[in-house]
Amino acid sequence: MMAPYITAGELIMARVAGDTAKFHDQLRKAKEVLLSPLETDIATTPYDVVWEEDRVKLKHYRPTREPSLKTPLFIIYAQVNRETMLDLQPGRSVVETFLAAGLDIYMLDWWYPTRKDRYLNLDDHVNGYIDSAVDFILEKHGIDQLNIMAICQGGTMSVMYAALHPEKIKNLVLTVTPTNFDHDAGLLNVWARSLDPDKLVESYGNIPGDIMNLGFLLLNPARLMIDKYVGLLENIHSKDFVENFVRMERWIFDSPDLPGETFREFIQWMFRENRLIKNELVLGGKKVDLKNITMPVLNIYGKYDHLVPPAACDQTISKIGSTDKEDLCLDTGHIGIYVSSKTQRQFGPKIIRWLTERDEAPEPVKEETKKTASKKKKAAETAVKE
Amino acid sequence: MSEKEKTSESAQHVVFEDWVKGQVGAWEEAMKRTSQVWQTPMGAAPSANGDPVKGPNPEEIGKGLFEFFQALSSIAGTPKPGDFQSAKSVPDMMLKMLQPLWGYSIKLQKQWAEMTGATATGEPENMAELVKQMTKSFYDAQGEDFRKILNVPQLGLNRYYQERFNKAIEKASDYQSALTEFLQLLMIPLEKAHYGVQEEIAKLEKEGKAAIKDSRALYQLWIQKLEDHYMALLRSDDYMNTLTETLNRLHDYRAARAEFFMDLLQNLPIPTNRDMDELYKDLYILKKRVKELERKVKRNGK
Repeated sequence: MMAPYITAGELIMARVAGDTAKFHDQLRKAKEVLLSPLETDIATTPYDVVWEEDRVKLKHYRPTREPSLKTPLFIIYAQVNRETMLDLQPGRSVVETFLAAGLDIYMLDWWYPTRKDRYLNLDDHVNGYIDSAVDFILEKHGIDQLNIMAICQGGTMSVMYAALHPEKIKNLVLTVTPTNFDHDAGLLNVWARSLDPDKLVESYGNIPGDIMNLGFLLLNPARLMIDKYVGLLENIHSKDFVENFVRMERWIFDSPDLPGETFREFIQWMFRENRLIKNELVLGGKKVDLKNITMPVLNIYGKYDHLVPPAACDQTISKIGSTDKEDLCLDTGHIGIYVSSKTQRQFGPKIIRWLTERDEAPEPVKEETKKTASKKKKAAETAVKE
Repeated sequence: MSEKEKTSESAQHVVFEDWVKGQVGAWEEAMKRTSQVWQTPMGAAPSANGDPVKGPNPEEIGKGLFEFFQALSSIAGTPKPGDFQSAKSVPDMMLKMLQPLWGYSIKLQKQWAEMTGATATGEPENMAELVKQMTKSFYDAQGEDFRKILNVPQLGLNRYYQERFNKAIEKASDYQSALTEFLQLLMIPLEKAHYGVQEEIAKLEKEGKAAIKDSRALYQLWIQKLEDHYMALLRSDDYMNTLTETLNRLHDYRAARAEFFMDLLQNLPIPTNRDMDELYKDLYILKKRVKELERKVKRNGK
């Protein structure tokens, strides 16, 4: 007897439909859910834009209570996707958690690059925009140092910044931050080594967000392009599920383009040459020496992160010059670290505790003392040249 | 209608008919060459109960495709008297035109389902390889002829414009073939996962168990197999080489297309990407110099 033939569509329908009577009830509820108003706005925590340079903006979140820490926290996200993920929804918002604990939060918004930004390179972002934003915050608060928390590629740039300007950073928190690119644990590493970034940049100028989205989807097409939506169909009768799903979709496909030169340098210098961890990177004429990172560092990464696997993160602590440093590997993936309700209970509180223990901000430096110090420094530089 | 108009209309009709016949001829040639690929005997795989498979052989498939395109071209060609006699309205006429097309497309789908093991099992690797060979052969045959025509040396005042246009067409065709190959590669895990589930069903049937009893478990099996096959594919050299080749051809196509558009745009008051990039580069350098000067002034001021 011939084996019965079953198509993929039938397998999906069987998974979704299941019990026929229950399925009819679910369909009815699904119709009500989809036709009702859904709360799918993201990044709803109020903030003010306090500084702008070209397309880059600095957001200051409005405090919800008296500050508990003296040192403000400056959050630097990656240029891939948007920083709105840290404020995805009420109840699952890292920003909310920090504000509730009394942290004074600034966040860098890379905004959406246009063709005119195609020539901006890593130096422009690290020694340009990040440094300018840091200077703004320091001047506004009348302090010499601030805390930085950085995510993914934002973390990689923050590591470069911390090595070049350690005097401006009090404490550094790195989350899912790749510093070592010489491994095959992640598909991105395997692909990036075979790609010719020059041709992509010549073709497009800036690398389109859609192409990057497609690349990320291809990392696991079965789960990200099929199973995810089958899961939605299975739960489409649940308003909460649909709202959470749509919020995540809105964030995940909100991909700005990546400035061409930055992409070229990142692929070539990081993925192909692995310069950062080998202390061979030079930015703005200065060597990025990881031993210059001497402030306290907390390095958090996900055990099941398929984008930035542990192999990409677990060498950072051993390469930096800090004495107060800690690795924290959580049982989660790349995005789950910020949005999973279970990890939210570990992640946010841990960072708050860690920063609080190290929050002894020095007295604001007076204007006269600053000028005297600067004159002395200039005189010393002139003496060295002579 | 005047005599002059009648002559003009019949001349147009003749030209159109000749063009259609020419197109049909070109397609016939391409299909003949493609069908040569299918002459290699593909060993029939056993079915679930071990009996040899009686699926369509490559010649039958080739014949089916050939008839399909003949039907297509007959619709575009000169309709014979009486073809639309019983058609009383436009929808009727459309239906009569599309009927042969529909008939042959159904026939092809059935042949395809049989070939992919809808009622029997076939090795998915062989199936995927067959499809790849078919497509590659088709594009190579088409590309060979097109390339010769497109690379004919151009003459006269417009020669450079014509050359760039031809180059854009050639590169578009190359990119299309590379993209098709890449997409076909991405379809292979789907076939393999499907084949895996069919094997599982066949095994359960053999053991006398109800195969479709727990369809959710079958779905989980399918999605897991699909994930595993994709993970294996995405790390393979074949995938990397195909992806690299596709991206290279994309780059060549976009470069050729940009050159062609430059020719068009220079007659219009619209700046091209090249113009704007030069301006952006100048702006970028100027901004950097200004920032550096600002920093020096600030340092000196302190």
